[in-house]
Amino acid sequence: MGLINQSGLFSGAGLVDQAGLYNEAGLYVPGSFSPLSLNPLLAYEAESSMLAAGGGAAAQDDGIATLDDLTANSIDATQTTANHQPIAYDAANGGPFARFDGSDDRMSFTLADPITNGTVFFATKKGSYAANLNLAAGTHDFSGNKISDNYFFSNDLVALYLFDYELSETQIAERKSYFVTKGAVEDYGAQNSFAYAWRRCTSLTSFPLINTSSGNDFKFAWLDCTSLTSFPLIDISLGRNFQLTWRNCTSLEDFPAGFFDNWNPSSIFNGVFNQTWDGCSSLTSQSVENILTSIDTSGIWATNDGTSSGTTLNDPVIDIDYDVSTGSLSAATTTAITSLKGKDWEININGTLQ
Amino acid sequence: MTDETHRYFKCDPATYTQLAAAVDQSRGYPRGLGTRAVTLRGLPPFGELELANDNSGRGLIAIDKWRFTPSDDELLAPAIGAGLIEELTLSEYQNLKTEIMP
Repeated sequence: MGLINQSGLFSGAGLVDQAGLYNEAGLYVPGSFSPLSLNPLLAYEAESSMLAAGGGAAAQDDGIATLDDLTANSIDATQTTANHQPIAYDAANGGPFARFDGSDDRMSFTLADPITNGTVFFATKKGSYAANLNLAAGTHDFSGNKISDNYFFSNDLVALYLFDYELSETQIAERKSYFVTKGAVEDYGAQNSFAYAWRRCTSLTSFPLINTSSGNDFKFAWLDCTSLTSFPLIDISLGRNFQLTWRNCTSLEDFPAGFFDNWNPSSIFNGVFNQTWDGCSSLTSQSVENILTSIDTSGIWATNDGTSSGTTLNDPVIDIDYDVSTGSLSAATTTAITSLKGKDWEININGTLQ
Repeated sequence: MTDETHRYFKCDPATYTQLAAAVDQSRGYPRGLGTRAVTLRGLPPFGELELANDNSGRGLIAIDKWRFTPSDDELLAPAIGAGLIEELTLSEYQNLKTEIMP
């Protein structure tokens, strides 16, 4: 159980300034805040949760057999196969954190009851985020960056918290600030590759607006996130590869306008939009308009450097599937398609080349 | 996952199971039985491996390089010599997997 509930020290908005957690400059003051407040369902922190086989604290380079749940719920995470165990790093080696190798390292926890509209919070060495999710009762795998049965994004986990309700932005910010003092990185702003980062996070119902301003590779990043219904206006200005990025996001209805307006990559991969929105069977016709008008607005050609004088891409197709019951393609979409074709793009909508 | 961080193998089921048992013996697995933190085995059971997509019936596994000891290589050598275990490059390994890899 948490140490402080929502009706205790925290105001209704979740602000904690009256408890003295932030100084007058708005900076976090360590030592006065417990991340275990607000009754998390489970809480793993590298600093105090990492156990090696036998139950002792995991030392540097030890495989982590158990992450001790710091709440009274005792929902420990376990991994009984050494080849899949993340490795413990101690303070003398840049930790404490649990290193997941981005190949097959994972742990799992078991929920007795399902979670509806909960919040997952990850604090890691590449960035920290919180997102809403639904989780069924039963066993769930996670790695250093996500709750998923795909483990292809290496990361160093500082903390993982799960709540069975939605946290406020303020409450999320408090936790980010706190775990920065424990070695986590606050946002993903220094991260170049988001390839595979949230692949097959089927439980996520929303995704936060994170800092992706340095990102140049988004391939497979949200592939098979089947519960996402919308997507935020993240910064993809340097993106060179969007292969399969939102493929099979079958609940994704709304894709924001202006997403590619400032797209300005230094180079572009062949097949940059190969299967990017394939299988997005709930996407609205307005979203198709948003996507295509925005790519057109960017002025980027289907060439290796995005200019009219570059070498044409081997696969210049923009693949989109959408729900035709939401309406036929708009005049603006048709205009964008014509313009994009003039820039050597090919547009494939619901399997038909336009 | 790269050639620098991992080694990749395609394994005959019976041979893999024998080698996995030898790995467990050399590392003292299972370890921690009766405690909250248990390591049952070093390598996953063959049934948890993805099968190669060439219909060979052999399993695929990637193993962190740092896990290997010289005695592991001695253990592997006869099986590799007999063709029962094949060490692969990353691209060979990727091509034998059904799931697309990073």
